[in-house]
Amino acid sequence: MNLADYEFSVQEVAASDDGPRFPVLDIRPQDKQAVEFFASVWSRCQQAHTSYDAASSRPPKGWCRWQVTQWAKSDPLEGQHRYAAWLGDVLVGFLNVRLGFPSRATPGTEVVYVEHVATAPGNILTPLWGRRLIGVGTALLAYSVLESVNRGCGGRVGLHAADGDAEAFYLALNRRFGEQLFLHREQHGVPAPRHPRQTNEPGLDQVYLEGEPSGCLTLLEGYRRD
Amino acid sequence: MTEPRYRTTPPRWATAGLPLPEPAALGTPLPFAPRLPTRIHPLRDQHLIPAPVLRDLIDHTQRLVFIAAQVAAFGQNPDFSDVRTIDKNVQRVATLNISPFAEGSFVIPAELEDLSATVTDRGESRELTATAVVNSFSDLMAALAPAATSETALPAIRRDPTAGMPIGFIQTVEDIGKMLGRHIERVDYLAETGPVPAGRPVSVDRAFAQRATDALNARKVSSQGQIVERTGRLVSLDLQRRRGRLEVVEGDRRESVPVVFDQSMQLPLARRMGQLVVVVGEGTFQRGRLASLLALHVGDPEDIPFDA
Repeated sequence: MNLADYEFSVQEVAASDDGPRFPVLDIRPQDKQAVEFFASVWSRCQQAHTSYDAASSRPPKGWCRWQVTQWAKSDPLEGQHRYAAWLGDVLVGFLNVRLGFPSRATPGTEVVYVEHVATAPGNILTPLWGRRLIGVGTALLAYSVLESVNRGCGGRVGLHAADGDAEAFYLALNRRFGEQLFLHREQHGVPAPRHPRQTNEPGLDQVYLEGEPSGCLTLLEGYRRD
Repeated sequence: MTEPRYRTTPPRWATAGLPLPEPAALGTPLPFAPRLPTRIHPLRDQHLIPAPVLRDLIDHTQRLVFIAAQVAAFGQNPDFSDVRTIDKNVQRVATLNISPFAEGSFVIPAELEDLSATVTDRGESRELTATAVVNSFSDLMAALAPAATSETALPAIRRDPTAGMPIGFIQTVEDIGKMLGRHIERVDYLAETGPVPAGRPVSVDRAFAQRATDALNARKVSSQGQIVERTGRLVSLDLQRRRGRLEVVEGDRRESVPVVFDQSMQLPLARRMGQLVVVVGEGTFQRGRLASLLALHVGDPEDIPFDA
């Protein structure tokens, strides 16, 4: 499948007289510009919200505690591919996939493992700012399906849901696709790929979902260029 | 400035009921290095902190974390204070790294690399992780907090939570206390070991530092050199470190007495491990409690050499 046949669009939340607008993401490998954005704009947004939480005696939000700069500056591991999603010169999300992850649903085959997917602070509704875009995570998930096809995994993707909110999102997405997107689900016990110096076993306590080719390709086709 | 490109028509997915509202993160959380952000609260009328004060505070904080690592690796030793003697691998795991400061903030964004080291304690090897170091720091701070009280497994005896704490840790907290009042009002430590928000920070203020001073004074006022005799069961013995523990039962009171000994007592004590014995020796008392017993003689309960 050709990347040029697809365009990974999202929806702008800001109201327009002409109805909703759909900007197209520029998804490309994470580069120095992305690292600089993480270290400056993204981190400052986290700090701003952390300061607000502290001033209003609220516990800090989970996304404020991501160590994005340290992560972005670390060297990618073998089989790990990092992508940054841009809208103009604004970094609006990132995607991290791992190759060579064994399929749980179809033993003997591999899936593209969707390791980290996140949308930028500017797309999160907070008391300080409104949400700018919706659909960044879904677009990046569709992009990982394209990766899966082009890397010989037939469109299969596997992932762990970060938390209860992420799980609820995936289940809602699955319903939109007639329960055909994630046919394989394990409540816990599936280890996620480890980082070399990571001392714990990630993923064991999280829900693991695996997308079958038919459902995943349907998701991807939603992004086909007209 | 690069302008974004917009579609002129709605994408196909828009007709399939998408997009759905998304949470901030969808995959596994990013790797999380244990952190110890240290928030300095300057005095109300100050907006500057002298560099030497900042330097000393970072030094003291590192010292606290090194001692916490020593406790995590080898257990509590009330006499421990010299961080130079800490194993290099333990120091490596417990070294604080400072990420870029935020503008307009007096928060020292300290974190530990997510490392581990193998340590050998009394012949047993185990892994020391950065998370264990931060947890040990939290435990020691909690034990020193003014409201801290704890009950041992032996309900009749109320235990001072600072009793086994390394003296170096208490002294360092006291040193931080000496910095308060001139430029700094208080220092908050927030130990974070995972991406899920942790509990409340520990505030080292004057009351907290006073607790450290009290703990040190309690150790100073201990009396030493009194010959005492205790009957109990010898429940543990470390011949290498020449330390052991005697479980004493008096009526409904049970007390675990640390026993130290020299080379001459190694064999007599080793022969009676697990037995009911009488130990006669030089006692050290703290707040009226027998804190340790230097064994000079050990015998059977029926075979007491002299009245203590």
